[in-house]
Amino acid sequence: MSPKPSDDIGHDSGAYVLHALSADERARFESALTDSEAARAEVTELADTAVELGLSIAPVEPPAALRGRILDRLATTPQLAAVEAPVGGAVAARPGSARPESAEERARRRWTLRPVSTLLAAAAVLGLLFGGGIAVNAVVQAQQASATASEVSRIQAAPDSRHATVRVSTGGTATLIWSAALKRSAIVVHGMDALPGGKTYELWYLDEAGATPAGTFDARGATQSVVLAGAMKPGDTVGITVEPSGGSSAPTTAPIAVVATA
Amino acid sequence: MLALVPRDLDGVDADASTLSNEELLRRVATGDRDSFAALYDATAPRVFGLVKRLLRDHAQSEEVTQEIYLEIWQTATRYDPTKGGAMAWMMTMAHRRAVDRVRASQASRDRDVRIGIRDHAPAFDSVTENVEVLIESERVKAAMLRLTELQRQAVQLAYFGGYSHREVSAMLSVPIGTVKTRLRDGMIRLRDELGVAS
Repeated sequence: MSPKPSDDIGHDSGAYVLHALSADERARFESALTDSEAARAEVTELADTAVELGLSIAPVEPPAALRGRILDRLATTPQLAAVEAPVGGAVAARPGSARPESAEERARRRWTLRPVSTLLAAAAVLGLLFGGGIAVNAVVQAQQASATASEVSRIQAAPDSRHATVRVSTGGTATLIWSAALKRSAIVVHGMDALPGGKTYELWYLDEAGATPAGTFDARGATQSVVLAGAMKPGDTVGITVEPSGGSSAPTTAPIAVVATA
Repeated sequence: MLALVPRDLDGVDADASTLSNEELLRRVATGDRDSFAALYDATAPRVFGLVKRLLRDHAQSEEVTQEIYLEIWQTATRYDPTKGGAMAWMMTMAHRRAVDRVRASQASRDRDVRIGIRDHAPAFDSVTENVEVLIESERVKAAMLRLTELQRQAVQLAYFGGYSHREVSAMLSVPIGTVKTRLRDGMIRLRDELGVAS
């Protein structure tokens, strides 16, 4: 159900590869990309052109101490498992095909599928996904005073409301409550660490087209409810990452929690 | 901390330093720290040069470079050589993270842009300083000089300055739609001049 690429969005390819779009525009552009092979091919070529600009800058030798600091961190920095990227649409129909991928298909995989596969695979690696709910009612009732809670209640009261709880890899739990009919979801986090200055938690709606920013929050108090910004689509997955204050237009770190609604 | 790091990390073996970045990245994906060290040595001046160009601040540039290399370590398993070269993969990641940091740390710069370009002149001048100073590669320099003045300024501010199209629009006093169009036709012209094809 992605919007057809309009001329307006078609003009965004240069700003997109230069990382000059706002988060909303970026999400809209990526969504439109799934519908246009020509746009995907153009984006791939312009992204490679941007790399040429980067390589034209005079190299600067970083301080020697930086190398040591980075290497020191490797032992405590987990690597994502190698997982076959999930593929969608026409590409998925012939996974074993000997026919080489077209440039357009490569572009599609490269620019639209990586964020989702990265997040989902990371969740699998960390063993984040587990079943079972918590007493959502009790959690929500504790928040009744706030406007957020009333929106959470509305989602929870919808006839098709569902919920799922996952562990947050850095500590605590996250319970997603959603209603496909309302196209809304909210997340109730419990026991999550407060972040240092300059960082924020960011929520994402994830689908085959990529990651769409759905708002940021800072952990305050033991339990907190956050209504996600934007519309949820059936089958969307929700992820949480740690980002620089103000949020990012696409995830820049591995997720600390992922909830599937499918 | 030091105890966690094998001693041989400092002495990269002779073989590793002759491998392609793609092969090094493939080995990094298996948890090979020697290959990671070799990849760092082969690419860090490029990545650091790019990050420093955008952030200017030395301490922040170090922080972001560290974030980039740890992300490379974490996500090397997702690198697919059929989709592009290792350097392109890393430089795209580096530019993205540097821009994210610019946006996160410079809410004050947004205010500067709203107030007006005059108050913002020092940063603007250094970003649009002439192509001769900015660009080392003769080939890219020649391609940049074939752009129109507006295309060149817009591309320079966006890529080398990390400015959003809104900021570029304010700085150059042209409508946002025009900036987007110039960024696109400017990049297409560069692509053709540089012979980039997928």
